[in-house]
Amino acid sequence: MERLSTPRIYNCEILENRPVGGLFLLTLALDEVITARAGQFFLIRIDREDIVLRRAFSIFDMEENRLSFLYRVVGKGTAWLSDRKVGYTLNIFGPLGNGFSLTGDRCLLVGGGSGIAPLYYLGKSLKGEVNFLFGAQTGSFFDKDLLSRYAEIGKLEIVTEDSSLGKRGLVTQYIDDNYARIYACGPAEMFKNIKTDIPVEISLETRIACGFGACRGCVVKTTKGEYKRVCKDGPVFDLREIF
Amino acid sequence: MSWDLCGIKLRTPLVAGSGPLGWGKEFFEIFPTRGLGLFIPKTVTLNRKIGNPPPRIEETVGGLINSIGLENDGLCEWLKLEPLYRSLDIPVMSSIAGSTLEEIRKLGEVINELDYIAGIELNLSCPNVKGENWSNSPDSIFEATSTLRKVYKRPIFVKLAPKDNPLPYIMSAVEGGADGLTLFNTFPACKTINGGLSGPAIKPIYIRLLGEIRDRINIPIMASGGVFSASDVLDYMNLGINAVQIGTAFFKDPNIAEIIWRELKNLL
Repeated sequence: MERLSTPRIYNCEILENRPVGGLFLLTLALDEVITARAGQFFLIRIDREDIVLRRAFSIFDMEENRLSFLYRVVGKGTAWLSDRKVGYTLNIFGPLGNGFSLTGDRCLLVGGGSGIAPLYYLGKSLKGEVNFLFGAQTGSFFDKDLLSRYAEIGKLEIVTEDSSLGKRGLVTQYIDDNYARIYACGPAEMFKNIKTDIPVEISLETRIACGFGACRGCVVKTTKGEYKRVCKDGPVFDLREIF
Repeated sequence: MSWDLCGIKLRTPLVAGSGPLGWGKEFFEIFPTRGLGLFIPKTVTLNRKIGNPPPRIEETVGGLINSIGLENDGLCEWLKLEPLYRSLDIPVMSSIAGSTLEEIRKLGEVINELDYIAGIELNLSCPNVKGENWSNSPDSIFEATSTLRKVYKRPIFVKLAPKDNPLPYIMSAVEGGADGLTLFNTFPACKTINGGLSGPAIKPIYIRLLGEIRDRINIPIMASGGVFSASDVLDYMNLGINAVQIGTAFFKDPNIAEIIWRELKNLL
């Protein structure tokens, strides 16, 4: 197994930070080449006095010393981030969390909305056949160039609720069992509707404070009734462990 | 430069307050002790506590509400961290809480035997555990403190809740045998979750409360509340506070103690 980089703080310059459909693509220059697994995340500091928590983003792509994130603007923190210009120095902390297991011959990678973010680096990291299944409310959420990047590494199918792009409906209606493993990232509603007998790994999103498992702020309740830390025991969990 | 808390020598007046860094295992695997003068691990209870259901944290403007509920693996597991605490180049003070006087007494007896623990911070003020907030009555503060005093020989700091007119509560801790005080725990608050508010939002309140009582108390005080910068530390020290605890700021900058100390040492 690869030796993952120990988390540390990096000050990195923004190389790009621009809208891509309903998301933003942020690329940073790291001062070293690191080893991180798909599904791991970084905490980005929001340089505003009224915001005390960093924001967590899973890795979208990593190439040499360039690190990219794909994010949706949902509140004050991400709005601040989307306003940062090329050349601004961001303070980031990571890589954190466990990441996806990289097994399975024929895999389905299911992304709901901004949940597509960790699946690009995952698709690149998997050795077997990669199939993407992405869903959103409407087609304009997806940037054409962004989709073609995914399509370069696997077969891509799109589902939209208004059928403005691809098939109509929800991604969960189009999941079948012809795969060795399913990887999924998206809202809780999506996870609840995944009905299958094959192994499913999910990446959870929640508010995170320390990021390294100490403060117990980000716990999620398992089906056994235990509390697990999203930042340290996750963010990747077995679907049946949580839902 | 050095600081003294009832005989505990600190190389800086910056204390890692109980909570944000857990018991320290995960944190010290990544970060050095640089800038810190004292480490207080997350509160230990006699038995394991599973804590409160999620969501446990929520951001507010300039603050953070938390309701962790003292989740911890209990005294037996905590004792296994002896090698870590011995390896640190700063003293370690243990934070403890009990739901009964008997629990407090047992914790005190066991920790009294640990020569690598410099003192105890008696947490009487967790706002997130039902029925365990000793801080709400001067009598129970006295009882809890004096119970620990009977069995624990090294310094005891009592951590109290913020109160309008806090003096009677503080005096009960002093009469119970406290050597020092940690003022204060988080401020009770609610956005969508009920919990304790921390961060820059509470600092002006705590500065006022401490300003009102500092010259009436002649034992050391560790202040806690919204310390994010060297100037925040100076605001507390100008009131005659002996050391300051850092908490929520670790979430913004895990190396906050080093950052603050770099600036602070030139200002003292």
